[in-house]
Amino acid sequence: LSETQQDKRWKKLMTRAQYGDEESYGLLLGEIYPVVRRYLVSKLGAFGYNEDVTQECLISIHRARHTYDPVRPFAPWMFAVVKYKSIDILRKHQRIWKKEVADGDFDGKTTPEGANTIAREDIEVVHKALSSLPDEMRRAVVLTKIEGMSTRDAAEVEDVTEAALRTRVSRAYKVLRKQLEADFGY
Amino acid sequence: LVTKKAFIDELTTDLHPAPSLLSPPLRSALWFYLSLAVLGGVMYVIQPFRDGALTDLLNPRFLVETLLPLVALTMMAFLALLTAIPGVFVSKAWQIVAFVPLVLFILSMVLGVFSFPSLEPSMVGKRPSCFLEVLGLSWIAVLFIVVLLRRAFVFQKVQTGLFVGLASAAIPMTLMQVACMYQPQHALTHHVAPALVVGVLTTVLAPLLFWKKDI
Repeated sequence: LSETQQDKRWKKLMTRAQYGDEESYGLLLGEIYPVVRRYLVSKLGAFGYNEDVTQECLISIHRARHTYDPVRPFAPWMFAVVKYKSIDILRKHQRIWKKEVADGDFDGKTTPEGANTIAREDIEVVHKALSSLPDEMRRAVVLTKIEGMSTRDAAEVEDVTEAALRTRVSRAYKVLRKQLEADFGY
Repeated sequence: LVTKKAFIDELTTDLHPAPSLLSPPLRSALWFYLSLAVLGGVMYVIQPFRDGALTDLLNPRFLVETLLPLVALTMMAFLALLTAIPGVFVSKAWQIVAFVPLVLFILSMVLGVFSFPSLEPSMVGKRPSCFLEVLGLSWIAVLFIVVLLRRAFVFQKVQTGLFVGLASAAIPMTLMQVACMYQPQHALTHHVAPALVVGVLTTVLAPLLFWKKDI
């Protein structure tokens, strides 16, 4: 389906959903779920993303569904809600992060002195390396190694074959290994 | 975290109808007529309108001068409701177009101060509390529009807040053209200035006006 055709289809499904049609709504959510996930992975990067964020964004779409105007395209409305919600989530996470750092209690538990600092440094190093990867490779690593998806599911999300996804992961590993060895001495 | 299927099932089971909101043109028309009737009524009760105000409207320049803020406020109310729809962005050009009639109205008043007023300035119909009336009554119109937006999720709060404030304050400001004495300098300081103050206040207070616990 072209983008316009897809939008028309979503528009129709959402309009029916506004009248309480469960089947149409189920179809719509099923179709937009991977789209929202892809968008969030590309926007939030490796560590900002997790599956909960996608589901929270879809709950927001559910809560705001009456604000969709059926005479307008669906995708801009959907992405506006997702963008707003994801920023909201990031702000909340930042507040929690800052509080934990300020309290010196990274995991909410008492930890040996210096342990959290090391963990945080490690995370930053890996985060930097991941961020420097091309988008396609980064998403492949995030979906399979961080999100724990199967190659098949990740390939479906990325809309590529399983073989192509494996190639991306393998290339990403090579790049990551080189970078971590060269830049950070890991 | 639940699986994708379970999650979708949860959202779709017992799905309640959620009809979309009325279209922005309908809601802005509803808001305009309601606000005009209520504010006009309250102002009339406080003090009847200026004698001969209707005859004054036969003067073409005065008529145009009075219609300019009306055009501006209807456009601004429409834009306020439009920008309250997620994903709708109003171009800068349209935003400027909405301000043009208001700017022309102010320029006409400034011109009146220095050289050619639309009508012969006079003290007939002077309202002792016109400044406070514009400042206070605007909030009734703000309240109406906030009620109309109560089910909306306003993401562009500052922009919507500015349009809400200016559109709302422009109603008593415009009514003062026929309700209060006509003198351009007085209109600028007692009718236009408080209207602009309301516009600034609603812009600043927008996060509160359109606050939602969660989306």
